[in-house]
Amino acid sequence: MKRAIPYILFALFIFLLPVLMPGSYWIHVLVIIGTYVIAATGIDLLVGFAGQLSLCQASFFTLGAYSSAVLVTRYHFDHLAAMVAGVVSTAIVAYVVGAPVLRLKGYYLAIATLGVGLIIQSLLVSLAEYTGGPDGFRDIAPLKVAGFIFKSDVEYYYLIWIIAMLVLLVTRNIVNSRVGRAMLAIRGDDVAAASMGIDIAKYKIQAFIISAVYASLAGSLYAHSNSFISPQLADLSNSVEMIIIVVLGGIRTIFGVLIGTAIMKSIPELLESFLDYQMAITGIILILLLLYMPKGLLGIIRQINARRAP
Amino acid sequence: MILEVKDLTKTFQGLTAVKQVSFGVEKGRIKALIGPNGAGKTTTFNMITGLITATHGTVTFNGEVINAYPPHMRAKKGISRTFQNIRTFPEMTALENVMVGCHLRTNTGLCAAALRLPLCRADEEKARERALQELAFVGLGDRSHLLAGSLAMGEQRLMEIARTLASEPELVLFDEPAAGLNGKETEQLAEDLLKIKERGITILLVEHDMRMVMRVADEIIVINYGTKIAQGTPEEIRNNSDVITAYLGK
Repeated sequence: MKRAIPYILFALFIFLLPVLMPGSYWIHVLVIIGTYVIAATGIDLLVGFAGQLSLCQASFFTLGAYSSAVLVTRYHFDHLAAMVAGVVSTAIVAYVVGAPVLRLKGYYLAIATLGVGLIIQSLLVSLAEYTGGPDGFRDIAPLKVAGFIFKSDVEYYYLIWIIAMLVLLVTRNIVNSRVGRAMLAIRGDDVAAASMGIDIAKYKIQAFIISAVYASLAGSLYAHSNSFISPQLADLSNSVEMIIIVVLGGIRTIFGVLIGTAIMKSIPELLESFLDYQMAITGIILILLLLYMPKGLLGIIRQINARRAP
Repeated sequence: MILEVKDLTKTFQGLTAVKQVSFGVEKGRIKALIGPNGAGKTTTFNMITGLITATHGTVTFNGEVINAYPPHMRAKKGISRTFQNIRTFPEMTALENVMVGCHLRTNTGLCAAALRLPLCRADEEKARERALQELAFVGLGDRSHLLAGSLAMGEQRLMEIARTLASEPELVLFDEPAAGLNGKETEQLAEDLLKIKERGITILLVEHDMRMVMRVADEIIVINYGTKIAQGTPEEIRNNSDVITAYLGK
């Protein structure tokens, strides 16, 4: 029970935040943070635990976003059904692509997933008839579930953060189980893992699909809450950002994703007045953090805690 | 015979590493596979466990030809192994390492794990208990919470053995388990092997430490240049002129 206290406190904090700062612009930022927490958690599972470097997470995110946008706007799907259709089709894409690609290791896998991401992005650009092409997709209807229409940032805030917390919880459960141990074993030594009876291909693809599903779900939520999407969402820099988020927060900590996303998505807001130097400052912060805290921020906090408590 | 190897051959780009090796392992015995460096012992092991596929010949386990099975399926059938260069999962604790060994004997799938269903909790409890039991068996009961990477080499080797035992194998292949161990640790290892045999587990052992081999093995197979040159009890092998020639030269 005592172990649940930090989680409960955190949930309470998230719940109270909009009450403490009503009408603040930061609620909008927090909606974006929550969205990216969902997608980046998949990367911690896939890269951190299963050890499979993927550079197409942002493309899966964009696939989810476009699924919702196109199905809702052009085919008048129920919003929830469109979201589910997006998740299912992204999962199928991840399976079809992952089965051959996940046989590769290390740099080769990273390059192959990079290719997958580029293909998805260029398809979204070239299928302009459906997607609006490079100009993007405008005026996506606000999310409507069972008659309730999400309009304000606060409404999206609660929806997205409840989903984000569920995703974190589910992922933590997976990690602390036979399945998570199998993934971590594959990362540690795949030959030893296979000798212990672990079906390597099966667990790699499971991790890849889960991570794609999280990205797709986050993309759908983003499409509705932002009402505008473009193929730029699938840029390589966004996939790289997901990995930076995970490393910054603390790889293999799951909840470190919260810290990593909060920092990465707040920097552009905080450094608004230094717009020209934003990328440079972000880069410097990253280099310093990685040099002095390779375990990430939550990794450091846990290390200090472990040292204090015998 | 729990394991039967027939005409096993492996050719690497024209170079024959193992040539028509045949032998059987009786259930519940310790059989040793010895030979000079480069004789093809590890290659033979890798063909039995499926890490490499045989060019010719068959591997039969409990009456079933298992040539086509990948390593994890062979493990599922009951063949486990340790490695010459210890292979641990360095970022997991000793306990978690051994719990990975319980993978085959538990069933939690993705959904049960994600929702932390009672099945998952029961499996976790079962795996933890079993792992602690095996760690105690090899004498690492008090090291369970340490990261595998931080254990001494001898301890890592024992942990690897515990991990293997946690998978409840019928046959364990030990690849040079005494390599890098000091005299006292080797003594302890020999005791452990005999204790494992007492549990009804069959052992196939590759080892260079002849004192240990002579002490624990029920029967010895000698290979040289990929070919079997002798087979017999430790006593017979000790006095076999071909074996003496192979090891000492003429």
